[in-house]
Amino acid sequence: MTLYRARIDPPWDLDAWRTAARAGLRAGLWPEDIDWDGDAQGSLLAAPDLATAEAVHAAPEVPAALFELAGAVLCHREPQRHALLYRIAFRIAQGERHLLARVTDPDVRRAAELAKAVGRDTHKMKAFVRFREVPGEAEAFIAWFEPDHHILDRVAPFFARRFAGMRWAILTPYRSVAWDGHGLCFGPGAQRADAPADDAREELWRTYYANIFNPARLNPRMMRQEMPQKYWKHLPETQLLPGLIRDAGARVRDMAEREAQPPRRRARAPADDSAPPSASVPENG
Amino acid sequence: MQLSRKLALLADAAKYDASCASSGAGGRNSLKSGGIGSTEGMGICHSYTPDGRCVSLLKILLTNFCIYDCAYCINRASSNVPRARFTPDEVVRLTLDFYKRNYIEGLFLSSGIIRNGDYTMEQLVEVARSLREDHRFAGYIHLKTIPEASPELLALAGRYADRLSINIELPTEAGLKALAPEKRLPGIRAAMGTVHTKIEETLEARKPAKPTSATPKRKRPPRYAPAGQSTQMIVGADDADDRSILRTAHGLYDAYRMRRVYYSGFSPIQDASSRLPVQAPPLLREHRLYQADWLLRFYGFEVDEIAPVPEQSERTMLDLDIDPKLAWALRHPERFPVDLNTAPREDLLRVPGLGTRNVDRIVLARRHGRLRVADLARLRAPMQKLLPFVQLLDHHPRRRLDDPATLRAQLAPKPRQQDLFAA
Repeated sequence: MTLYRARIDPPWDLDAWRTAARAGLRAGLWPEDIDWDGDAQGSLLAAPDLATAEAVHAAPEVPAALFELAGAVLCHREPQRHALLYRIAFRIAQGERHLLARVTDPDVRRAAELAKAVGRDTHKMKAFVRFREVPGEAEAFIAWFEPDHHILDRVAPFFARRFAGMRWAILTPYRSVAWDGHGLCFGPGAQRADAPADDAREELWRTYYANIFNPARLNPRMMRQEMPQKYWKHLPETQLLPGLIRDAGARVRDMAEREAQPPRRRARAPADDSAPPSASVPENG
Repeated sequence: MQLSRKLALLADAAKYDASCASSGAGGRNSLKSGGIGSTEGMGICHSYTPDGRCVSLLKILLTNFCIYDCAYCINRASSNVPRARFTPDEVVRLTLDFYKRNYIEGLFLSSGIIRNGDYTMEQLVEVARSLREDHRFAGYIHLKTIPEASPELLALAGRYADRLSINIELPTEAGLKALAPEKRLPGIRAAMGTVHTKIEETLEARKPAKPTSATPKRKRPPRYAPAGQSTQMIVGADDADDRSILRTAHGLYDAYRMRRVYYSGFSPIQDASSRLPVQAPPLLREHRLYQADWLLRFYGFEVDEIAPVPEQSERTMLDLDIDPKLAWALRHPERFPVDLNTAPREDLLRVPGLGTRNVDRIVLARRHGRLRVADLARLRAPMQKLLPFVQLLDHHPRRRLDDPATLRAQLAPKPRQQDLFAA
């Protein structure tokens, strides 16, 4: 039976989870003694708050690697993540000192999978955020993004290091962050319409995207594997995809047919019809 | 000419360079400078084109005018493609505009040769200089290096760029002579050597002095191409076999500590020269060469093991239907089964289906208990491929290794699946 309830606020916060886990371990509570689902109001009926549990042990030694793992796992939306992490911490405190090295253990494996999903989401967010310039303001940019997990706090410092000289904000449905050139400021969630609807440079970017693509190597399956469709709504270039894929075959056939044409004379060979070849190289033209 | 038209032509002209890597530049950011840009070791792919290739860098040519006439190149002097040329400032602005919107990790700038090597190289270096010095740009810069450029320009290029590359172009000197008559292998190799020496010297000079040393504090020299140098070989434009390609690659890794050798399957181009084969090589060939390259660099294999000396025919080609590690294992059933609980790491690396990561996980996990089939399955290893070659506490492949031909037939993918690569 549940003896205590724990509420981690915000639910991805490592310090809050660490405080709660330490309280649980010091009180000698078994994993099944704690209800970690602090969000569910219905479970508040009887169980007292974990913070009120009486400490009967000294705080156990827990390896730093656990907190590194927990920092990632906590960002996952999996409802059981707090309980899973406590179970791992509990087993380590009970004497399984090398538990994290047992990579085939089901608990360790599960935590590693959650951390991996968060790592992937983080990586894709670094890749697929697209800033749009705020009209009428110099060097100010806003991006709208919908991550799978609660990773904004984890990723924001990356954007601060990279875009230190700009003012920018990233808006997501659950939380937002802004950088003013000096510090990060977190705020509530937002809506897509709160970000600019367009950016003047997107047309040039699409031009680049269309022309760096090699139709002779068409492989949309590989593209989808690396750039899953759920991200496409954030990427201005993806509106070209149907046309690029549809026309690829015809473009390759066209190239093959033109192969039959004789090559023209070399540009630097004496020309018999047009301007002298050196004139065909413009100066910074 | 409009900027967008130039961009279209000069991106189109750049797409036959396979590299888009943006990794290995070390850690660097803009918090102190108040500029723009960072590199954090790992590269980022900001998009993917429908050919499945990563878009990490703004990969363009400064110009596609070229005085050379290399048969495989879309920009060769005798080609009919429309020509264009960016000013250095246009490239700087495009790079910054794209970077600020998080489209790219940086710039990969190459160029056709205009006037001469030095003139062209000066223009490339000017773009990199302006980004770094005028705009405090700390993103990734890869400069294609012109082999004929002077050592002074090579020295300057490496100060601003993270990576330098000089393309070896073709696997053999005979191929180069036939298809790129103005290019000279000794010149290419000399430039690679210059860059290599400069990288090594700079690394040595930047090492922190020993605390006991009595010498006065010296200023550390600036970095030089911290992400090293790479090169590219075109596959399938001449008749070089896979063994010669891998031997050349191995030699380049060895002599110049190349970070990467890229294999670029010859791709049909507009207005192709009649000296080229009509058929492009299968994309799968390029894929197998990359797999073989990885085996050479990270798995302890030798060229002779992956692409053995030919016995009857003149040429050694990698199998297309199975990967080169599996092919080696099937040629050497006497080396299996490998006991995953006791075998040294070098032997684990040779097991088909085991990558370096899972090898490390196995080495870690077996310290804490002997491994069974279920443990391996939890690592998401490809069991069907693995099990014939390994022994575990509750598994032995028995006689499956006695008949490599049957095993090969079982493990080779069905032809239907090969279409995935042939697209």
